[in-house]
Amino acid sequence: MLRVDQVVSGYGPIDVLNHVTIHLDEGEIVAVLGANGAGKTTLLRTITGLIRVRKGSVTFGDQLLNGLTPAEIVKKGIAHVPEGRHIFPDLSVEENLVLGAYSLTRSQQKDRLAAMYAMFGILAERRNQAGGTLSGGEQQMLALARGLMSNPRLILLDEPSLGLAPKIIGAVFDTMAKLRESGVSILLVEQNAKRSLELADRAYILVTGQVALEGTARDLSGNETVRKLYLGGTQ
Amino acid sequence: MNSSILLNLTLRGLTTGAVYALVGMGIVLILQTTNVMNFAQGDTGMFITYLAFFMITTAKVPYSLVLILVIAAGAVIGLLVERFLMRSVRSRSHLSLIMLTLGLSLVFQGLAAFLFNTEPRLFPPLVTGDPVQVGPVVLSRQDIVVLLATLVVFGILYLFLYRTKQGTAARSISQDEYAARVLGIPTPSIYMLVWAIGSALAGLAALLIVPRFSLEPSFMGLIQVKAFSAIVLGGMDSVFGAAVGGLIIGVVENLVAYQFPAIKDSFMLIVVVIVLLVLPQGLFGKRQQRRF
Repeated sequence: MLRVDQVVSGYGPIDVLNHVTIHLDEGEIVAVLGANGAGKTTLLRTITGLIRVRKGSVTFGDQLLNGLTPAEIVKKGIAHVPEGRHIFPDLSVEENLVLGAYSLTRSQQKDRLAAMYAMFGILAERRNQAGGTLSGGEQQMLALARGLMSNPRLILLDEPSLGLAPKIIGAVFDTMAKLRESGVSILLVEQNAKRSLELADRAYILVTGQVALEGTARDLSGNETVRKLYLGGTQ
Repeated sequence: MNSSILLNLTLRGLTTGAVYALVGMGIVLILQTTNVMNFAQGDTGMFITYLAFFMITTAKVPYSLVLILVIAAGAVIGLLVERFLMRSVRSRSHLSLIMLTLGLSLVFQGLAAFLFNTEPRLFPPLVTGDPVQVGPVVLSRQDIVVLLATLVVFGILYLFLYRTKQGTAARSISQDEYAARVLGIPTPSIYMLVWAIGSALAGLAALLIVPRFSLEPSFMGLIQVKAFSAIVLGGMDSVFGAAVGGLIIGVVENLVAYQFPAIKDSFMLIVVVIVLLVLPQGLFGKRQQRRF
């Protein structure tokens, strides 16, 4: 479904990604793990057109995404929930959500809104509240729901559990499992490697802009290096 | 000063303030969405007013149509400025963007002086006829038009910002431009739209106020300074604040002018400085400017 092939991209004079190749099949949850600065966020930004592909190609289905704007890529069915949530603090919950479906018609937006309120009851309760007044966990749910408003077939999640209480992290991971059941594929970037590998089908480990390891989540959980570096020692 | 004079001075001040508000609202709209302080706002309006002048005097276009053409011309100029000037330098520093809009302002002045010379011209009022008297209140028809037009524009801007998806997108960009792009909001077209609306407002404001002055390349200079005072007073982050700030400045300066005409223009700037000392975020600013 998604194919990132030998991609080089970066900021200014610096290439952050060096010939990264990953793929994701329909219905999969694929985790991308790695230390800070390994290029995880850069990978997501490159896929959604926020930064330019310098070499290589990104394809979605049979369509080449190179050179498309973020707006065009969202229309193709890829949503991106950025790290740090980036809720619009002074806009209401409902306005935040509707902006996630910018390219849809009004009636489509209404349908998506109803679906999101059914899925995230707390957002329905808070629909007229300013986004900035929500708790961290609620904001993360809002960010997720806002990404889903465009009715994507693939959603890229950047650190969705960052800075959340353990109980809420559980809720976020439960939501991802539900999303997969509903047919949305997920590319997940996470610090929480243990939980990610439990949830994901496959995973890639990025080290300084290159794929150092890849495999099924089960294989990687058993891998000695991965355990030492990302899963907090022996278990 | 008896109460009927006070009332009339206040109303007259409100009409002047309405024009400051129109200019200020355009500046705030562009500033909040695109993060550019447009120092060319006044002279964009000045230039469009020259076009209007020749439509009226030479081409004999009816006023109602001129009003529409002025708004259209403003929108086109705004689109062109965004597309061919601001877009290519968006990532530059604030200072260079400010220099760019200051330069643009000089370009409009130079262009006007070159094409139409600097001779002051009398601009006929949009509406003629005797002033309207209601009880102790006397207002010229032109002033009534200015007040009504400002009310209508304020209403339209409000509907745009809070009831349309493009307006909501503009507000979202002012809060978090990156998030807006991530969500697939086509930010370049929103920028163009906002510049178009802002510049159309500039044209409208200049057209409404010019009969009180004479048409010459520098006639919007002082008005723009007042409009900047208005948005600073209003808190720089809301169109509403700019509107109220403009009205306050218009009224206060008109009252001051009645007693002390010589300090009319400087007095208000002192008031603004004092307000800023006491309330750094202005009267209606919710927070310190996030993006500026």
